[in-house]
Amino acid sequence: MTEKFLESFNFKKQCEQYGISLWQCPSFIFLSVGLLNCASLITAYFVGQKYNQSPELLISIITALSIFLFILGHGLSSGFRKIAETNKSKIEFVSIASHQLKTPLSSIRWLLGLILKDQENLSTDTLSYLNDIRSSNERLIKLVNDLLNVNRIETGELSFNPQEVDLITVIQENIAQFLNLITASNIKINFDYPPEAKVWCDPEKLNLVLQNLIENAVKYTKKDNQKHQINIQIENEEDKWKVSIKDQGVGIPKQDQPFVFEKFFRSNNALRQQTIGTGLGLYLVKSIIKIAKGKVGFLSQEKEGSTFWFTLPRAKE
Amino acid sequence: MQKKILIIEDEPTLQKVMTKMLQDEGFEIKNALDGETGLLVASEFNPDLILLDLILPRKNGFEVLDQLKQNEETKAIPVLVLSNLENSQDIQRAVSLGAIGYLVKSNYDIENIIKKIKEVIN
Repeated sequence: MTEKFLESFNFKKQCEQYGISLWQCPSFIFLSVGLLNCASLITAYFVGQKYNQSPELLISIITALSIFLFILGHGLSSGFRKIAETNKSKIEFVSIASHQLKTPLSSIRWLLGLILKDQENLSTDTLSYLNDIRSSNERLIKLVNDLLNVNRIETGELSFNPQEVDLITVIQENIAQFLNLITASNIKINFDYPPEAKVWCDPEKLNLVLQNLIENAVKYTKKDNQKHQINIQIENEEDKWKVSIKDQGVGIPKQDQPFVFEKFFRSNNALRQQTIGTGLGLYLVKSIIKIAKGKVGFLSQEKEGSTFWFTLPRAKE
Repeated sequence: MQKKILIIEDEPTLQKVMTKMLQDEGFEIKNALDGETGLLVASEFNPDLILLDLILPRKNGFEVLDQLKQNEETKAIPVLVLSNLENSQDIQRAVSLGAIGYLVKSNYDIENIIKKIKEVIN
């Protein structure tokens, strides 16, 4: 009983649990305000005694007000706790559900691999349906991975193991990965790079950033039967390397620009162009670059295209 | 000589696909659907490679790995972890317990998994 009572005063622990600092923690602020209130009550009493005919009346009014404030504050902090707990269970739910989804999704992926191994026994129609299943399955896996990563970012559990990474090779590998999609979309990719560019980053997370940005550039390139270009460039920027990816796509409307890096945001423009997408990609990009101590941004004009860029610290020599 | 692989995996579909693919590649395969059975089969079958899932009934993959490495008979057998857990803590834990590799299942096509397995076994 006493332990539980004392525990309720361990604000530091409570606030850490919710991932906020002491000065943002309602229960701590509430106690501080309470103490301040008591102090002012006592001061008011002494001041009142000296200058006022009936300090008791004054004190009763202040006490009544304090009690009212106390009730209000208590409601506020328990409300906050309820919201924080709901949020925590939401995060846990997403994490468990996503993990549970991964096993059947891998099963489908591997079974398809097994069936598609002997393609000569399959009719063209069957083959094309199976490939459709395969791409839907891949989309689902990507969605689940994105959700898990967003969850990890929100709980501060995203692992980040920085090391020296050759930016040029990583970008070339990522372009190669999208080669089918790029050719199918009638797009030409230009890649300009200096003789050497090594950055300090987690290679897996850097891959995630590049995959999302290149995929977006390809996805949102205008589909008007003309040959379009995507320009990828590595430039020098003080103690960092800057990567920019410029597309000739549909662009982002001005009113949507402030929200592009927000979680689950999808521009109406993007929805008209492409129904595929979760609105998690750019949120992940921004969060990862922030953890990597880089910067991220974009320039975009509707109907002209967008240039997304990010910077990363150079590898220590 | 035909090389032997033990698959310790509780998901029947994944186990079935891996068995078929690896048999086609000419390996001799044995399966175990839980950790305890995995340990038993490992010491009887004496495989050239063990493919180990981590979330398993009756003894999880970490415990299995630890016991394989404690046992004189099985400690030299290379163990490749195939799991959908992808925290760096889990990966580090498996490697420090003696796994020679760690693959996240949902991130790979079966062809790539087989390629990695062949790299490891040869």
